[in-house]
Amino acid sequence: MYRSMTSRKVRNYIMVIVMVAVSFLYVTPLISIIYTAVERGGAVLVETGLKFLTDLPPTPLSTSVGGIAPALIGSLLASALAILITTPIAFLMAFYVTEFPRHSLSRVCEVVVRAFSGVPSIVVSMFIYSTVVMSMGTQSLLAGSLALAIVTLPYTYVYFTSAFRSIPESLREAAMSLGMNRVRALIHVYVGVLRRSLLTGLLMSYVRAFGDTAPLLFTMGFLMNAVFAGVLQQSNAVPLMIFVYALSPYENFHRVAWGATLVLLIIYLALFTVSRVLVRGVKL
Amino acid sequence: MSLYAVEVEDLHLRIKGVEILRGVTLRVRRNTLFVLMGPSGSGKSTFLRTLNRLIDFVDGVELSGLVKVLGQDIYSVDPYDLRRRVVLVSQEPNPFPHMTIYDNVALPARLNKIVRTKRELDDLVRWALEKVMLWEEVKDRLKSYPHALSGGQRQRLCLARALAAKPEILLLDEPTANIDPVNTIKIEESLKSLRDEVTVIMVTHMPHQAVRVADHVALLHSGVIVEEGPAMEVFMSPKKEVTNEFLRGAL
Ligand SMILES: Nc1ncnc2c1ncn2[C@@H]1O[C@H](COP(=O)(O)OP(=O)(O)O)[C@@H](O)[C@H]1O
Ligand SMILES: [Mg+2]
Repeated sequence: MYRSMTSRKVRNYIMVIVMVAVSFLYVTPLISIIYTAVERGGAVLVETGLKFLTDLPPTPLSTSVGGIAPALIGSLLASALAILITTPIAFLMAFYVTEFPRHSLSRVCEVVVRAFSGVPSIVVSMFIYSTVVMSMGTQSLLAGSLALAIVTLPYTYVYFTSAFRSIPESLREAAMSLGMNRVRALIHVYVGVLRRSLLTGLLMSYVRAFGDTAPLLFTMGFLMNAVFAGVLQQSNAVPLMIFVYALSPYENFHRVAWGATLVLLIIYLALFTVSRVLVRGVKL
Repeated sequence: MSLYAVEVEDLHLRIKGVEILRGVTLRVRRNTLFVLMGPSGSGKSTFLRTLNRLIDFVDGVELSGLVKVLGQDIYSVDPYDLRRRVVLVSQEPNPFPHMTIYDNVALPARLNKIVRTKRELDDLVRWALEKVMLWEEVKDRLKSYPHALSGGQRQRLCLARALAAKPEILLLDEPTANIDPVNTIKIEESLKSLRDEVTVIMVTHMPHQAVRVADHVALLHSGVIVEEGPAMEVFMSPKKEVTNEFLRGAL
């Protein structure tokens, strides 16, 4: 008895040590990436100030760093357009599937979403290229947004379904007991009760779209000489710019890439914080 | 118009193959306070949820027999319409947490288009809150949220919300099971004052509560009605031994 107790304790300790070591292995690279981004990107941002957000990118041989305005505007707009497209679809699908889990249409929805989430985003990019870009004759903000929308849909859907699944049974019963139909219950009760998780889902989907690169490779274009050229014209994106500039041979391009990386991280943290802080939860 | 608010004949109900109600036959007159008593697990909640078809949301329900509510077979009418006329108050208080006290009461009235003006709505909300004796306690904080209320106050808020929907039948599933004696008395008093306006069917497992409020009672035991009649008759001289045991608290 005594022996088995101690051996269990020992095993416990070993497990704890293993867990800590594994978490450390995971966290260390993350922290080191963040550290490098803050160090190198910070230097760039300190040097250029807000101009980094409003200026056009540098030419390869210039000594200045310039700014990432076309990428920033492109990213903000394309992500917004993408979630504008996905939100209603994901919302309705999630609602339908949680309300009627046994209907065959629900099963179809689940399968489609799972299929979507499995498609590599570069393939999505190719698909939009061969349809939208080819037929419009140019890469564009719209094409980029569509590609982002397809890639984001499964995330938004998963956020929304888990939100709908968290509705307490007692509130569902309260709504139904008063003769509300499902749509009225959705509008008057569920949306209000879930406002925090729904909005968090929305912001997280936005962040998700904001940080994705591959869907934009063949679709967005690479606008450099203007901040914004129109929805149906070429645009640019922050992660796209990081990708292209980091691979370039020019020193000042590398610095732009680091600066842009830090901006991306800051935007991510800001949106995350906003979703946590600004949206008050409902006290049950 | 039928004399009865509820007419049930030989109702059998199974959930996933288990028979919960085994041939319930029961009639409830309009504008009475009818109390359905029975020990836990006897099928009271299930029966109540059948009357306004909330049971439709439970998986694996099979049902046979006739259930007429307000003169119509419940399976021949629109269930949402039925539930607007036959409103249920659950055992656990479940006010809408994201709405103010005022809006909780006002919502069903708004949705059911019971009132036309803001003034009428204010009056209706006040009437409902007065009916449940909550008005004095909340009149200065109608814009605060239900989490600020005590459990008993929340339950009375739910009762007010149900009343503001102007139902023809009010179903109450052990509305005082989880609240203190003072709130319990307040709820019982409200129910007595509602007699002339609405048919109330209340479920309870506590004989004393039935004694305090009921016009008419029935005892449900293991899915069948074992005894039924005017409250005084049943309490003074129960015809069945089971009823006697239940009233003595031996079930
Ligand atoms: N959704 C359900 N699924 C399976 N069994 C249920 C369900 N609801 C109720 N029952 C069973 O039906 C019986 C009666 O339950 P209920 O109507 O809640 O009784 P009461 O309200 O009188 O305590 C119980 O044995 C309970 O386990
Ligand atoms: Mg019950």
